Amino acid sequence: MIFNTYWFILFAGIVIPVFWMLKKPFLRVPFLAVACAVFHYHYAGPAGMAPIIALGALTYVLGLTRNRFACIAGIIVSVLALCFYKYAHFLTGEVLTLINPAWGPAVEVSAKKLLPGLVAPGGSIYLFVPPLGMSFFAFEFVHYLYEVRKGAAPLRNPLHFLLFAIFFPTLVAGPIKRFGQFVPALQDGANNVNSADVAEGLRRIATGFIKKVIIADNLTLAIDYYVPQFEALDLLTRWFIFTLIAMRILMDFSGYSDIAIGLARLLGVKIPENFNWPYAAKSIQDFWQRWHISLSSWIRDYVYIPLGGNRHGLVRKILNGLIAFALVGLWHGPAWNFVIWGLYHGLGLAICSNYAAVPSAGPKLQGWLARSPRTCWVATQLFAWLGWLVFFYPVPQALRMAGLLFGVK
Amino acid sequence: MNPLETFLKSAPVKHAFSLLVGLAVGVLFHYLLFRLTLPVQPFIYVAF
Amino acid sequence: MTAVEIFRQLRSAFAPKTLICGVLIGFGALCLLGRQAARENLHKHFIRFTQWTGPETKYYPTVNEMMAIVRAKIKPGQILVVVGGNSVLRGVGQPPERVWTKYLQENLGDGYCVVNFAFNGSGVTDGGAVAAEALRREFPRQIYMANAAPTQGSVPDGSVVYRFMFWDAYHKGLLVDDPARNAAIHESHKLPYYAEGMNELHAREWLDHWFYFQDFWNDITLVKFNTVWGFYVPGLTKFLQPRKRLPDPEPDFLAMPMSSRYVEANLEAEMLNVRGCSVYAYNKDAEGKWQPYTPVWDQFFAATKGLFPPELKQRTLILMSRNSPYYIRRLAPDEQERNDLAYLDAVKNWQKIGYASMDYGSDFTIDDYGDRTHLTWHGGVKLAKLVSVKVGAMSQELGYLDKR
Repeated sequence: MIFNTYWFILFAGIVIPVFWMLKKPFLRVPFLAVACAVFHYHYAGPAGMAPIIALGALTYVLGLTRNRFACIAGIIVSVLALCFYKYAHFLTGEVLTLINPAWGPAVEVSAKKLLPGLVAPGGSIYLFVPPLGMSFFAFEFVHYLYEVRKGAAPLRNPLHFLLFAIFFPTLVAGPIKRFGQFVPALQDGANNVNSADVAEGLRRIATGFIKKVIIADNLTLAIDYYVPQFEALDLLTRWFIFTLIAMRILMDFSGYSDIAIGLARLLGVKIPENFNWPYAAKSIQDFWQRWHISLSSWIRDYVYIPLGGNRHGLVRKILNGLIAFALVGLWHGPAWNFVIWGLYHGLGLAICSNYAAVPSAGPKLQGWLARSPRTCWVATQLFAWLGWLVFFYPVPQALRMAGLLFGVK
Repeated sequence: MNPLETFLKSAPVKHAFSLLVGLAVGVLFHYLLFRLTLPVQPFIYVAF
Repeated sequence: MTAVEIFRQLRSAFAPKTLICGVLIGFGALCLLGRQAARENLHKHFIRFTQWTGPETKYYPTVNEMMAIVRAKIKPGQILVVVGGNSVLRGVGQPPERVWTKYLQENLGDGYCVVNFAFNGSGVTDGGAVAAEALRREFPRQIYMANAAPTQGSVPDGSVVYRFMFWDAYHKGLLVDDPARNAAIHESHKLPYYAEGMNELHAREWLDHWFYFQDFWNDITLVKFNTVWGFYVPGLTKFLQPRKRLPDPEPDFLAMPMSSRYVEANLEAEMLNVRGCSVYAYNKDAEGKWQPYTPVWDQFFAATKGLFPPELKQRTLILMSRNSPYYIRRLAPDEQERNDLAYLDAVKNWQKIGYASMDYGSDFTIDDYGDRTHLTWHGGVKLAKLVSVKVGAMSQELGYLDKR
């Protein structure tokens, strides 16, 4: 929900014009900070806001110390918080149970005994409910501390840090910001928001809503209607629905990003793009430079490269890629299908970036593909789109659907 | 600059196009207010 | 230059202020057109709201829309009769040319104007109730009716699906400001179930009273092209066709075989429903006589508090819809007695709190019913006859006939 609610429309309809009317940057920044806090409180509630405030305050203070170990400690806390909120239930319920069926329930029972006040009436543990936007917060805080640890100047102005953390256009689902880029953009917006920003922002928001409300939501209706009867459909309709599934996720998420970017632009703030025609990509590397750019670049900078990237030989390079993509998958949620989806892309990327090294056949294939960009495009898109089946559906169903696309029952 | 580019960059065309886009955006925003009266699908990535 | 290049060229040369002016003009023009649409009758030859003009297919009629229907239909000097309530009074199973409100109009004659604003599953305070209240000053000689089951109360601002109608009218300043009702609404919204979605509903209706998006786009949906696609509207390839072109699909119960109206497999569930009308409301005393079970009736009185402003109670007729004899006959004799008692007590209790009330169906036949509760057109003729007599008497009591 969030952007497609009347409350948000009223909120934006008041906050943005008041921001314009304030004129002075020293008024605009605190006003925006208060507005963002109201937004956060409304959608996350006190229970969702408290852990983020605690984590944010810790990150801010540790950043100010510029101490390497303090920053590392902060990174660890952010990662642990993310793991706890998002993956504790998954770890106890799924991973431990997989190792030993008795372990998972035993840990949950102990947790409930240790933390009786945190058990909801239904028996689930309150604390396991992740605060709104937790994945985005954690990644932004890790990025902040990592950069400060590497020598970047920390944010001294607490309002700037607060806005970096809870800037309402990007609070819920990104794009994942970089503070080195965001804070100057924020100051620029507070100083110079003008009619060109407003016009571009309005156009961008409209584009986002067309993608979401007019295209993606209607595609969802069709998908929800046809997928349960996928097997009974003729081959052509199956491929049609398969295409709709791929279009729906693109339209939904890039629509969201357009609205977020457009809203920020109404405040004069330019935030990075998240999509660049991903369905025009002609290789898997190319796809990941175009799809959810803020996430893939974050994973590259803060997971893949620190793990060694491609600097330690082929095996390490492939392993690092697989770890990075498994994390990309897991970032989406604590479920096996996301992990498999991530590994699927990691494997695809490993093959795609290394096949040329296979003696004899590799260079030949590379040469042929270089001469057939359409084949590259079809293969890349087919790979990425098949991946959406695993992303959205349980693995057995996704495999069955993939088989049915090729006439295999 | 070829004649078409010159034409596209001329003030009347620029203003006419901008006005049309603006009108379309205004109409869309009005429709959006109506469309939200119906149950809406949550954004997929909000869940992540 | 390709089309994409031309578009990019144009996009790079935006005139921001002109674009912003365009946004304001486009949005503002539609708000004005919305105000205009709110005054027009979008439903020419209106009989009732159909499947295509009801919330089940994502069409949400506005209070202005209903008011415009009345204004277009009523002739000077006529007493307004607004029919609200649920699918029974909407005439489910009665084809449009034989809907019961048509017979009611015929029976009442030219001195009355009957409009059917009932909706499937709606309660006594939904739809028609809101429209009638909004028209109270324009057409003070009015009777509003709705149906209910014994011991069934309601919520002053309507059931969840239809609550938008009340708040639509409220934010447009069309309703009576009744402290008792406000208090009852305040109470009901303390319950989490009722409170859910209220912020959004208030924001929506408050915005609509400025921008008139519901009236404008309902007009487009109905008359120009369907703006909300979904599988509930027929014809995947014709989803853009305006809804006014879609015929009222209501079937004729009497043309359907008995086995599909009174489904054997549903007998047990339907008997539960039938018993449910009275089973919790009575206990047997030592002599074996049915006595009202007070907590249930107390709950009824609590759930009818503040439903309508005091000045609108007397003109409100609550009909108690009895179930088909097909099921009643299957009750044990003492259960039948309890069932009768429940309907009669419900009528008395509605009267006690200031409303007009009557029950119907005690002498109806199986063929008068299409299923457990809905009437065939044949039953509709009988209902129209009973109700027209009651409406006549109410008009007399309310002094409507003196002012003619």
